[in-house]
Amino acid sequence: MSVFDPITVKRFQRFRSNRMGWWSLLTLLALSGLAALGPLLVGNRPLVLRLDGQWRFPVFTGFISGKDLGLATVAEPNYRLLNRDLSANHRGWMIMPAIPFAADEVCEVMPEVSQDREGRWCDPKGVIAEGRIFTLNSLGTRQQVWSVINGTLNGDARRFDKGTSVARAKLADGKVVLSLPEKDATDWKPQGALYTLIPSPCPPGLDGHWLGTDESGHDIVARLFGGFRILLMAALIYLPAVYAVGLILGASMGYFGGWFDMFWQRAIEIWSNIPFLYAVIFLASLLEPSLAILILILVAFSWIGLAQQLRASAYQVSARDYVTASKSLGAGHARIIWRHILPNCATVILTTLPFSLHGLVFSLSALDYLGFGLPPTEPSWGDLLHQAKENWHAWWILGPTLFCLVGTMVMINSVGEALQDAFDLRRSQR
Amino acid sequence: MRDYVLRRLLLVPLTFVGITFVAFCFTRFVPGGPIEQALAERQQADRKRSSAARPSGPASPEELDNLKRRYGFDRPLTKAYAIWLGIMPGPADWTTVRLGKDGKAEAEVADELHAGQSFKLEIKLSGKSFAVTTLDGKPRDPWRAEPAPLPDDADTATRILVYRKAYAGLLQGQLGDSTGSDKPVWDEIKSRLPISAWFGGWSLLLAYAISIPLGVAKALRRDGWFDRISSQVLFILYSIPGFILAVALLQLLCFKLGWFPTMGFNWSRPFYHSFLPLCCEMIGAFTALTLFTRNGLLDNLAADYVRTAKAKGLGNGRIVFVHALRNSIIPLAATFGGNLGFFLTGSFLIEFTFNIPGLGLLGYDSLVHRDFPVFLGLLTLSSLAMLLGNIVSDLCVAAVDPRIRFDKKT
Repeated sequence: MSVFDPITVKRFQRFRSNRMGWWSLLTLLALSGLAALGPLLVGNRPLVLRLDGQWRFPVFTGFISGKDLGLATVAEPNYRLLNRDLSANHRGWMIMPAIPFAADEVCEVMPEVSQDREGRWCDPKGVIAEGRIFTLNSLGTRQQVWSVINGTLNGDARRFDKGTSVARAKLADGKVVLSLPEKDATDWKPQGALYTLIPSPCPPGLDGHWLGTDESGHDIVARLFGGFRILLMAALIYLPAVYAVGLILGASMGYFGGWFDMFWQRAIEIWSNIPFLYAVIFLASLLEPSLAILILILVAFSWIGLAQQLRASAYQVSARDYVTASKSLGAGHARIIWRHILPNCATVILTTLPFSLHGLVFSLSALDYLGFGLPPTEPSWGDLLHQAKENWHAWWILGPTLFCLVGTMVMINSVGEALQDAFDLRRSQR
Repeated sequence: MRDYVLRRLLLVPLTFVGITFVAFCFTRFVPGGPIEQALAERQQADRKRSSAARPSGPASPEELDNLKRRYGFDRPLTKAYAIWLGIMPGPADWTTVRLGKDGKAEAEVADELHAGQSFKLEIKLSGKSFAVTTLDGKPRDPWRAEPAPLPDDADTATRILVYRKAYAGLLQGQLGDSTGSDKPVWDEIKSRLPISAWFGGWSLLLAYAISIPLGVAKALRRDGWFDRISSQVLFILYSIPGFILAVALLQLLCFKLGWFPTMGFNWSRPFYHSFLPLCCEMIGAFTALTLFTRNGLLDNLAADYVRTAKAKGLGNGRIVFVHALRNSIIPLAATFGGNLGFFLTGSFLIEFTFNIPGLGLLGYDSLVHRDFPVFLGLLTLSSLAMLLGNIVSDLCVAAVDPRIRFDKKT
């Protein structure tokens, strides 16, 4: 026995029997669950921080000043560097999220350098053609910097103290040819832990960036994760809003008919002939784009199709005998709409839901791709796609972004197809 | 049927006015319009010049007034719209002059009878109105003059506007001048039209030429390996928006492998340049059309009349291609008119990606640079195309399906 009525059970079974749709739905739900974890999974604040015998939970408490942790700066510490320190001098330990980068965090990828057999300086990818190697002080800023050309020390070298340059030297083929001030006792031989800076976008596999970084130094995994979260958030606002507008207008147009219907039909015709993306670009370039405003604009342009579908189904239902019967029994408009029109619209709503979602992903990505979407600090798949177009050698931006976009869109559409099958809208094909 | 088409055609102007009026309102209430841009350009030019030579600062009221008049921002919204539409005369070839102490002024204006030439007009104050004559005293008809005072005008001489009253709107076939290039909007559109027509035409042709036979082949070998695999592929392609595919193909085939040119369009090797953009433009319509054809054909092959046809001994080919296929392309015919708009404006996301200078990119540029006359001109064309396309769709449906009668009240 089931608590649901037999038709619902049958539909659910039919839905499950479409394997691709069913698994797509499960995958999408699982991914949404992961996205709901948010900073617990992807972020630059540790879940647990045990420091000098004290328990802290920065991911929940938010900002902690470096002073409170016994560091020199007031700013929030870079926990990844702090982690390195902690394990080195046994002050404590911490648990970082699985992806220890925030979506809006600009990362400098600084792998350690080594010398090959011929004494040339190499980063993990090979001999440094042109770049710098440097040592870091405890705050994570440069202490001593050397220029490297073709693996040998060539050109400028500087030593910094609290961010200001205190000594400089000129090197040629690894030898000092000039140093300033002259009586400086700085040793210009590179020693200690030496790092080099990889320019963004940085290829995968360095410094814990599994998929590399994008052109402004954001971690790609964190960006993709953040972009998915934003899409989810957008869907949570967009879908109720667009269905509310479409349902109210569409159902009342179909139900009342007459002049009301005529007027809105013309309005819809006018509104739907205004090119959607042009209008959105137009409005998005006027108003300061934020997620809420973008969604509002999208809702303003995407209720039309829905309203038309709902109008058609409301129109059909309102001509049925049982509606006439309840009218003759004295039922008011509100009751008829609530008891008869809306339940019949439920099928339309459920089966069009995935396609509305598909449209949302498309519109948001297209806008971000064109540069009229969210501000660039916000992570978005469309922005990554744009970067992939601009940096054609950076396959690590294109590949994962393409995978996520195409995967999500195919999965959403599969759920839609499966739902249509379940509701028997395409009976003839089976 | 004739009545129906006529009724639909009568509704077109109404809807068209609605669309263009909404768009016109948009362009009026937008910050960063042509006036602000002209002022910003002026300020930049001032900054580049040595600041000692010329005093820089905000534009004078006179310049501001001229700019407003030039872009039609000096009139109220409805009047400006009526002039744009061409149902009200607007000032053409206008210029402003200052009235001398003797109540006379001379103005040099463009000659409307001889293109490219100019002539001089004399304006005399007579009573409260102005008399406009040529230098030798003959009256010249369409030319008028009226006072155009400026607020806080330091110059005591009266400023007057000399103009020619003329209808120069959409109804007269004039779309105005681009604020970006100062060329007529129609010329701008005409220069982009062949490229868009090329892409629109080929993608339309290819989409129908491939999808219908493919759909038929899939339906005839229903649930065979070909049908199943191609359905999966088509479904995935259907879910990918064209511009995403465009970025992927551009990176892989153009930049990495170098098989196709990376940017732009060139008439000397049109297919080489347009193969990838065409693929991307087609993909959405093509996949949907194929599945439509397949499913529609399957529906019809299962219908009673096909069984009857079989029973009376008709050949398989005749049943499929004459009876069933004709009925299954009815839904396709319903979408045909929508392509007309697409044919004109194309997919600007793809033109943007491949940097193809078609109408879509022109529209995008005009929006970005706030070139409203061009934008309105494009919108006019595309909405006309779409409105007519809807009617064409209905006609197509009626042509393939004699059962459908739109003029019958249901």
